[in-house]
Amino acid sequence: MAKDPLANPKPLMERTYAYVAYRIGAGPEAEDVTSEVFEQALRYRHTYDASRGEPISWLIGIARRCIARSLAARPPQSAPVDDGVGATTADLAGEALDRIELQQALMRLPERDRELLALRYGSDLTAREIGRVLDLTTNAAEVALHRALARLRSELLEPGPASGVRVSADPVL
Amino acid sequence: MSIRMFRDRSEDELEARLRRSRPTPRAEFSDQLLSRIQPREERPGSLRFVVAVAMTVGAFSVFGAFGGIGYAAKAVSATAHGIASVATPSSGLQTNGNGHGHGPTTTNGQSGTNGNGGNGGNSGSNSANNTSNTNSANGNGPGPPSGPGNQCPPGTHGEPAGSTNCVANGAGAGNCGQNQSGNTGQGAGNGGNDNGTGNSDACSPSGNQYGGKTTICHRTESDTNPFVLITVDNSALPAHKAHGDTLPNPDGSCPGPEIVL
Repeated sequence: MAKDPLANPKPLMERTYAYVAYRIGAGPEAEDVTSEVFEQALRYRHTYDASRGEPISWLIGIARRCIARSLAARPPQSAPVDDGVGATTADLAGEALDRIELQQALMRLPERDRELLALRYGSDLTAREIGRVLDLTTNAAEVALHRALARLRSELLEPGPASGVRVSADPVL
Repeated sequence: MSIRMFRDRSEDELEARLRRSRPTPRAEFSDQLLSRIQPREERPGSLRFVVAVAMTVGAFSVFGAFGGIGYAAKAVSATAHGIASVATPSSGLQTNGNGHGHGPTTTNGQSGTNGNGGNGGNSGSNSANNTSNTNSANGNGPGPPSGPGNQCPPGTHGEPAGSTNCVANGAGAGNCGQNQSGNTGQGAGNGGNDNGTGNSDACSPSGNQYGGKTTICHRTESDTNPFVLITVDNSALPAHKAHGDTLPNPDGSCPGPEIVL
């Protein structure tokens, strides 16, 4: 019997959602995309080939296509930013602010950098897995990640003139 | 060097911040989505094993109650026996002897009648159990003459010519044929004895075909032909004797000596 890619869905769902949220911003839209990802996964779970990668890589591949469709259908507007809904008490206010600041900085990055950081820190893929998803060598993925982190750091230290959130509708696929 | 260390440290802090701030789904959304993903549940292996054992025991109980086990065992045994008989090379002839013991047709009389010894059973080579039991000791041939006055045929048994002290035939040990069970038959096709009343093979239903009959002179109450030779069953001899029948003379003429029961 083939390996079921959704045998342990909870961590997969959390990683997928984090990836989607890093890409398009946390909130209802990220939840919708995540739901769509898992609907596709449930429908095509029998096509999963374990020899081609871990289930999370398979799900991220689906998520990238879902995000592309979502971004293409989205009218030009500001991306949703995590409004700290997850923080339910005042004690979490500082953490929520930190998260909002980071989210805003991410949204100011180019799409490709955001993709790389979402893959690395949202879905917890390794550089090798990222390279496989983006059709890069492992070394090239590491270098690209390093540069994306540098640009994020710059954004956090010196917010650019376009401090407003910009989201490219051009998917990086 | 120090700049690089600073960069690495700041990168590590940023990475930690990215991981720490990783967006998490709402609990309601998470629960709702997970409820739609039904992982394939498998029944516990122990339960499966118990069910299998229970069904096996039940099936054997039913078979045992209706004699199915014994029937199956018998069938298996018969099959194995058949396979063994096919696989084992047979040797010798396949002619199961039917034990044609030709018993004597005459009894000795006062004048002595040569009786043919009963032939032993035919040589049987019973291959069912691969014993190749080819019997060469058939029943004997012509029995010796017996009775006073009779002489042995010259050279038949090595007796001196003219001797009346004939050597008795030996007992031939013929196989008993028609051994359907595959066992080696050791039926005794006895040779004829001195009296010419050789016993035939008692194993075969056809072996005693003529063994119990005697040729006698039957009284006809006719003046012109008072006796005729007939062959009757030995069990009828008392009645024939009471009727006045006699044994024939050695030359076949009637009347002869009295029937000896």
